[in-house]
Amino acid sequence: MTDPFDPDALFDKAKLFINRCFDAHSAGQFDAAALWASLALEIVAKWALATVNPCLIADPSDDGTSLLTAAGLSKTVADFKTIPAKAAFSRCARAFPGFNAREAGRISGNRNDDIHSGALPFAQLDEERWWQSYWREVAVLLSAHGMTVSDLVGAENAGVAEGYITRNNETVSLLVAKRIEAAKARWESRESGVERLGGFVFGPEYESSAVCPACGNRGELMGDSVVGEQEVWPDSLEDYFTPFSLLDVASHLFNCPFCNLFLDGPDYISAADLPETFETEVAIEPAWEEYNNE
Amino acid sequence: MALHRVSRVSVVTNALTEALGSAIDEAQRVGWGSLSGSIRNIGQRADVLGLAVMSRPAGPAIEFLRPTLTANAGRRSLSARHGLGAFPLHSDCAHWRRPPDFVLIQCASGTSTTPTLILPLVKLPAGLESAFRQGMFLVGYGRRAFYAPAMSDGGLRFDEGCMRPLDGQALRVTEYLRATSRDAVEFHWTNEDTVLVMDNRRALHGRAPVHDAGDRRLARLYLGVAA
Repeated sequence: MTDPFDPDALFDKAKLFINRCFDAHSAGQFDAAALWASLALEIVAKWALATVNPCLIADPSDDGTSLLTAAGLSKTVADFKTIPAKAAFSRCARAFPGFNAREAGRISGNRNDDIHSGALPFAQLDEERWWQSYWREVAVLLSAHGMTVSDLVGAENAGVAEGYITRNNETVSLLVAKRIEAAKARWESRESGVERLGGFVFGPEYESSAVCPACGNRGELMGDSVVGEQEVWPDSLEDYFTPFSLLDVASHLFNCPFCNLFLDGPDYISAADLPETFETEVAIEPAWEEYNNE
Repeated sequence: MALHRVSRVSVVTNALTEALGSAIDEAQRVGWGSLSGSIRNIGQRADVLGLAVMSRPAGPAIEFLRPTLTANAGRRSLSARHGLGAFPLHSDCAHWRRPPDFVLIQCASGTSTTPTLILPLVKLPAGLESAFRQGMFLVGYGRRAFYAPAMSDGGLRFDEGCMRPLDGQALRVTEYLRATSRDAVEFHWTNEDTVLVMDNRRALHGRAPVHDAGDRRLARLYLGVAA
């Protein structure tokens, strides 16, 4: 039996879904094409995780049945269940910097609305923009494993997908420029005595600050994905017992509480020339504090 | 890829090994080749060339094939669909994860009036290269089924008996191969010593309609490039 967590099987299935997407795309059926594409995105996300370790897509809530199967310790393949799309996207955002779980969630949300209700979610969308955003997310997952969209869609359709990615970069640059311009105008025209036009954001685990490209104040730079870690043991005697970890975190969100500029997504951060990673300190408890040989 | 390896056997088997090596080289170059010898002896000497005998699970290394009426054929065989009619072009064991690299056939009944049809596909047709690599087929049945394109890992996989096209590109590949079957060359079984060597990943083969079922008994051996 084909292992449902086998990365090659997942990739072949993603290819089939993408082929069907392009069949519908070339027939001018956006809704069908987008539905197949959204199904493919979930499979590509699971492929990206399973390539690292199949346990990353195993449902953890079935008393270990799926985890044991993915780990090769059980052969109950028929009972294997995978994690939901939302969990897969969330893990991808942490594992593969640049992947935007919110955007992927929006894409799978369209799919869920389409197949679970009488709503027509794809009829309300800007097709061009939807494909731009879609192909960007797919490309991030593929590049995490040294692949390109051509490996997924084949030479025949690679140009179409790459065209959307190029246009996405242009669109995001334009959108970011407009947001910065609007925030700058807001800040400059604020009433006297007003110190802040926005609020603070909670959500991502790690935080630093960066100069806001609109108003020049310090805004919040946030993210969840740790891309590097270094333990630091201070030289001075009084600080030696308060070591900390110096984390490199991929920037995912920028929020300026002063001019209310809000940029969500690594591509938006990059287009605003904000740092793509930031350093932050996290206190670590020295192990020997628990040891007592008095 | 040259498959000639170490030579360390008697003059007789050296000659057979060299002939097999040449036929394999020819098959890799143009899709098929042939040599004189015994298919049984070839099976025993193939390892010298870095080739391994492949067989069905618990099946014999050499299988014997006879034209079979639809009513008498195994449920999932080409004979079940086509009986004594022409067999469409296919690669052997397309439903295996790793199909054999070479198919060797010898006419065990000496000669046969029914030719084997061969369609070399050493080079993919212009305009369809991507479809061959991208178009997905459902391969096999039930729990062992899997998805695969017609060309992967540098080799062909195609058999309408166990592969179903699932998208537009796979359909185009299927239609192309159906249409091209008329270009297949006929290999006639006129000499009992002849062993036909087909590159199973670079050529498709089939069978012309059988008019005299009694005269055809073929011995078949699968070889794979040893890992």
